Amino acid sequence: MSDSSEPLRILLVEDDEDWADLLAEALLGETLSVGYGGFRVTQVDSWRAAESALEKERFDGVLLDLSLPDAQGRELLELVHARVPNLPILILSGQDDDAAAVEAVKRGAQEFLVKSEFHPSVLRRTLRYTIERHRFLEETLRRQIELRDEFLSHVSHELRTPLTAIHQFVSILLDGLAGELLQEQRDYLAIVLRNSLQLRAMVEDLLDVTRAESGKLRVELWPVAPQSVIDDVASSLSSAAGQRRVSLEHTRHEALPDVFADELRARQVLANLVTNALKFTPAGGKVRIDSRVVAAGSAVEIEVRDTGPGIAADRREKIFRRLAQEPQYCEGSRKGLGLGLFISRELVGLMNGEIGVESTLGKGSRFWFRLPVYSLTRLLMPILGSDLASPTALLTVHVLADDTSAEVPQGSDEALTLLRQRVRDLVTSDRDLVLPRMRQTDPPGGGGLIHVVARVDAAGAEAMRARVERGIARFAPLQGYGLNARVTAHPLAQPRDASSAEALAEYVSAQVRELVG
Amino acid sequence: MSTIALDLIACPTDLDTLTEQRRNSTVAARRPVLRPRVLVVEDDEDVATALAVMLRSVYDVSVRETARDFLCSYEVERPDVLLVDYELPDMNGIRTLQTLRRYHGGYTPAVMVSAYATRQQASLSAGFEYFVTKPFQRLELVWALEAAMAKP
Repeated sequence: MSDSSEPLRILLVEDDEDWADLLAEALLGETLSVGYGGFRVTQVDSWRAAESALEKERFDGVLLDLSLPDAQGRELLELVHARVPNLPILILSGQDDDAAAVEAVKRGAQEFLVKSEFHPSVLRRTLRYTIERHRFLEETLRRQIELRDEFLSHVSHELRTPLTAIHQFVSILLDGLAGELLQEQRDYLAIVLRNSLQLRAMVEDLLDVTRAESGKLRVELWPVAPQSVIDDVASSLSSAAGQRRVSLEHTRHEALPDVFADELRARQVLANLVTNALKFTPAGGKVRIDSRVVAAGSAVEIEVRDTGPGIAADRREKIFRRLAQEPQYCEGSRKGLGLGLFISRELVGLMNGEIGVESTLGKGSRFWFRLPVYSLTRLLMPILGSDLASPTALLTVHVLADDTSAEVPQGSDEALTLLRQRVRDLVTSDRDLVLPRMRQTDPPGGGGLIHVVARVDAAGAEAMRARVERGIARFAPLQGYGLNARVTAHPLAQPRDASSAEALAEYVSAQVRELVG
Repeated sequence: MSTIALDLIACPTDLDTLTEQRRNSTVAARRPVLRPRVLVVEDDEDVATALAVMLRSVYDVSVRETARDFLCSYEVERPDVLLVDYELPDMNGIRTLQTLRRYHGGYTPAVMVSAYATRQQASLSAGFEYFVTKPFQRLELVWALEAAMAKP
């Protein structure tokens, strides 16, 4: 609840000058007392002026005349309500018309006053009560949603524990750890296992939905190879496809660039799309995963085509909403909560991508999502976005063979992968110190180069360098491959133009290119 | 991380081969032993039983239910590898390992198990050798433990 001694900020929209003055006077002319702040009034005389005032300032309520020069009546009310759906609106009308009043309240107005019955204290009281009632309802609603989310989150957490135990013991039986099984027993246990996995997937979805709705769904963006996402999903769902007698195919594209994404979440999105496609494709049908570079090289698109029944045009947008499973699809398949596409859209949005569907009834659907290609500028954006003026440093990690004249030993690719992982780990555990990201390039002649861009000053850069170096020195697998790493820190000069994040990102990219060649 | 585990050790397809491999092993493991001791901390009784059943043919398994018991028995048990659940009643798995490494002697490799895949990053940063998501497969668990012990 707000402090009642703060004045209530009212936008008064009235084109008749005499009425406007009268109303303003009524609102401002009362005696204030301790703990009561009265009103503060902004006066405008047209919808256009009201719109720009709403843009600039925050208000607690709108006092609206329904006949303005540039908009009137129902249409005006709809405009206002659409512009500020959460602001209480009190209508002033020249006509005493009950039907119009009811209509107005239905369309989003909170109160309806007739000018001929105007009285200053009635106006003040009505306006104040309208605003307080509105605040109370909003608060109640917010609290209810919060309670529902807490409840759902608690329930999903609690459901996981017994599910895990069921799963573990069924696998123990299936592994023969409690004695040999008959084939029939084995088959039935496989059914138990499949259903417990399904139940678990639903619980996960519920958790994700509550996270999405309370803004707690998070992604960690790193360079991710899209092909490995596709391969993983295709292999983990191949047996599900086999069971449904649907063929699941995917094409390999070696040359796909890395995308900037959360690998687990990207996999989850693709798995959702493929699971849906498998669910709705009749036996003997085909599901195909394909990928390509799109949007002038700035994004990778992954698509899932099926030979299912297709989706009617008017349903295509709706299926991405909550609980939107196609009713006719549910025949013979009661599986799923219908949350998968909603979660997928949320996740793709968090990864700065897009998701969509094209479909022909009777022929099948093509679901696709796009993730941005990984680039230095994009990488720098989130670092530079929030505070343009703070100092930035670049750490480079050069990976070299112990004896630099020697060939880089076999297996160094794995060691590099490990090192990349390691640098990332070292850096992410230092959230309080820096907000770093990493870039990897492949210099000629093997070895490796890893860049960490951090938001720190010169002393911070030095501290980070020492920390990364210590971490790498302790990292035994690297030594096992006869590789060594040298860490250098370069504090970057302050840019002259820090007017926009884009400009700054460009500037830092240029500096990075200059430093590392 | 499980793919890396696969690269680092000869991947056993069944557990009899594993014991055989250990017997003939020439790999410089930390301390080659035929039946390594695993100290588990897991507060859910059922999951703890499952862990013990899955591992007992190849390891000597001891289970503790709280971080406190786990820390107290560490020096007595002298395990070869640790298996730590994230959610514990008295402190989380990461703090448990950090406490152990700071105040108790020696370095014992550790594997984290959690129902939340999102904890992987934090666990690896905090010094766990491997991370396994619950529910786990038996081989997956064995690979993680073997790979953790194989790290020089």
